[in-house]
Amino acid sequence: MKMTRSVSIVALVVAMTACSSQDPVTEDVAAVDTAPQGASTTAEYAVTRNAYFGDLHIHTRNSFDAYIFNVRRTADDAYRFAKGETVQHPSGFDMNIAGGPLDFYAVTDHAEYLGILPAMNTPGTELSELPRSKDMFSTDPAKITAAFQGVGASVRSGEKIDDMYDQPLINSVWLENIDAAERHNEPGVFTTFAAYEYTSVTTNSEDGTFGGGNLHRNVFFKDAAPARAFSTLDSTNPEDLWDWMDAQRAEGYEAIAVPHNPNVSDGQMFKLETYDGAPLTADYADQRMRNEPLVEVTQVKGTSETHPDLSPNDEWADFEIYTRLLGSYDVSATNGSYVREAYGLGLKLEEDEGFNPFKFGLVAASDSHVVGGAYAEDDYWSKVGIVDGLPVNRGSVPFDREKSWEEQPVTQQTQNATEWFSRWSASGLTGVWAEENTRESIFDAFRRKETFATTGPRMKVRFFASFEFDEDLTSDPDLAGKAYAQGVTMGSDLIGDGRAPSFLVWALQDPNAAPLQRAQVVKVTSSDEQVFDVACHTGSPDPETHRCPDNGAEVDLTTCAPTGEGAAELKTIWSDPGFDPSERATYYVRVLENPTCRWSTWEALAAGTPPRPDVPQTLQERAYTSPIWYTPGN
Amino acid sequence: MKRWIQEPLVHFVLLAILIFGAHQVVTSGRSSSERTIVITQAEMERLASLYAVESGSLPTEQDMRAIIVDQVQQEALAREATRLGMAEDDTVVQRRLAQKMTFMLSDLGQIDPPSDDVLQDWLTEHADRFAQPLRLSFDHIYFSSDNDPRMESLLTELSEDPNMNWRNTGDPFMLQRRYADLPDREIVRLFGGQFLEGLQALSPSEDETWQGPVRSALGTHLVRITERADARMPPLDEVRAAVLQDWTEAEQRRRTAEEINTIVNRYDVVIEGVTKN
Repeated sequence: MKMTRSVSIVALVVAMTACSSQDPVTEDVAAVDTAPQGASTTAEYAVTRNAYFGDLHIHTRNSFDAYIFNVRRTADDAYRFAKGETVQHPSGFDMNIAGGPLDFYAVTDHAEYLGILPAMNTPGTELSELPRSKDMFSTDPAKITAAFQGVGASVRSGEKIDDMYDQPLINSVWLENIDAAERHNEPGVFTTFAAYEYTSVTTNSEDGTFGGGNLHRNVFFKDAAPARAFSTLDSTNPEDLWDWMDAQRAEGYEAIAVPHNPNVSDGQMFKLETYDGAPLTADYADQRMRNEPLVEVTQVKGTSETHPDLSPNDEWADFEIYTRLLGSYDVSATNGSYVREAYGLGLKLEEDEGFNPFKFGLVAASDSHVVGGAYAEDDYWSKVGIVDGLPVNRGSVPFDREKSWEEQPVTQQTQNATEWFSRWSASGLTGVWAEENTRESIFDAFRRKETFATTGPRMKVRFFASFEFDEDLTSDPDLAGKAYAQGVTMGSDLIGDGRAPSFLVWALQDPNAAPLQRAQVVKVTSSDEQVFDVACHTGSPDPETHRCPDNGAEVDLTTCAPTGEGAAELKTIWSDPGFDPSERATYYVRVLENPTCRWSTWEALAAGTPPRPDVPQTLQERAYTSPIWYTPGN
Repeated sequence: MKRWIQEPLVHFVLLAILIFGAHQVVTSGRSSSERTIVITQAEMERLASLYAVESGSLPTEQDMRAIIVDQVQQEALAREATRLGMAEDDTVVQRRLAQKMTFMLSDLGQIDPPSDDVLQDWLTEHADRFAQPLRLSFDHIYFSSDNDPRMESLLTELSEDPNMNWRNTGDPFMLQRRYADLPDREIVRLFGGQFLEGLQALSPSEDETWQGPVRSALGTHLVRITERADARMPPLDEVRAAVLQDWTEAEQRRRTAEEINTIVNRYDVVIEGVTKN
């Protein structure tokens, strides 16, 4: 207790000095003419909403796993990184944020044993006297692994390790994380949230042993947060987390939870029964949607949009697919693990049973465990600290300074690189459409699901549907204003009146990344899915195949320089050629950049070795919007 | 609790007890022999304060005696363990020792504030940390193509009628048409570096009038700058506290690193399998 208090004082002092070196915020700038009268707003306030980017999933030394990965940086360091300051990686190099400062950021340390490992490694604490502490911080890899796995097993089973489980210490570290968020939250400039990760994992149904399917959720508080965080040591059942969140909401602590990595949930994230195997009900759907309006669709451990086996007619489905269960080389079940399939399952449930538990919007994050996210392919550091901090650890360059991939030794390290690290991604970021950069405005956007997810670049996407849009709306100088006035935007319902809707799809490239190749609408019904190219850099979509002509954009693999042109902006009014006014449908937008080198190719290029042969050498960065749900009228 | 420890009277009483206790337990005298255990007055004072902090009351004579006996035993046993080489295989002990050494090194004396010349040099060398960026307020009209024929006539109209409704012109822009007080890096984040360069090339004497076209990564823009605060290097007096803080932290790191280096250099380091080159 004494230790943590002094740590927080040091952090406070450091944070205050960090702030004092920054420019003061000018409050009295000319007010933007769109701000409502009388409302207290920041200079940027706009009724047509601004695009803000952030990372909602960051770990620090207070996460039990991060500490073992040699991460010693704090929540203050995390927020400083997001604001553009240089922070050191545990492997010793500097990390700088790609693309400039972010607008919002949330530290989401694992609530289980929050801050316990640092205390175990601090002389003089009772925790440091435990035999397991001596093992955990010995130099014997077998002892470290055994001690670490003991903690992991407890997090998964929910059975506390009594001598290690110091609830007052956990609470005090949770309060420190809340304080750090509070210190760095600056309305109009930078938004933070009190947040943490709830770390639930599947168990095998036969024998109750570790299943390795990821059921993790990040919990975000809109503003004030309760003094204690609900973790898997309270219950491993996410539905109990929702009960707790409902109770917190009743106390005035508004919160949402965001599940991540359904791709490695072993089919459990979107399964058609409750955690305990009971049938789904309308109450279940209500409670789930009240507490989990968003899902993280892309991050360092792969993309959860869809899988090539689920979407054989989607030529872009095979993108940064990662399927290994947690801490394992076993492959996750595909069905029940991807959001596009879940959208269809949700519509089917709605048609058959009258409720939909899978009506969620999309966000993205890095899940970095080194306080700073690696979002750029050409400046990557992965996520697990010293374990994958260098190119050779993550298998982007051959082992042991070889210059070829032909005779690679089979060791634990190379196998981990092959099965895990080489398949991880330089991803992702959440975009929101919000009036201004404040907690309230951004959290309200989460609630509205007016969000989009990118795989790292900051392309911006607007998406609206209406029965009223004119064909020439796209050239109206007040396009965004009219689109809001006449239609509904991402995250919303469109209720049918017999007419066919039209969709405004509007994308703007990240001015500091590659230009755009195409914008697509993905349509999902209870029985089918279809991908339509709707706006192209070159030409227009073929009315039969719904595909853009090839724009000829490629990458020169000897330099990673892109060749060919792309679009700065894509904008169109689209109507669904297969629209059936009596059928429920979910529509979302996917925007593709021109191809660029994947991080593994950049690293091989820098090391002067051939790129790793068993992963893609280029990729197309992309953005996904939250859907618009069409529901037939009565 | 902390406050009374700082009271001079408390110090006095503590000291008296210490001297009395010390006299009874150990005889004074210096020896360089490894077989001599010296408990210094400073050490006794530290032990007494520790006791006081933990128990909330001052140690009695009897307590003090017990504390010192304990300390002597601990010291003797630790030396014996060291003599037997026990610390050498114990990672935890080694890490604690190294940690302690590092803490000591980083706490080597106070760093006195340097002269203004040193601070001024520091400010100049690390200008990027203290510089205030260019900030611009501007309106812009967006054209998605690079050579939209409407641009030229629009520029003429805008110059002839400053009150015309410029928001109704050009192509729709996805973000805002008016920006207030944007620092240069925000301009780059929103429009790309080319646009910032274009804005910087505009003459300040033409502020408040429509100018352009200015190219960006997103298209072409007519621009009216409404307010500008040029990038500037603040004089030392304005940022003295921040510069001093930055310099002191760096100096501390430098001194610590230097001390560690000096110590490491006393050893020959052999890492098996790695050849020096």
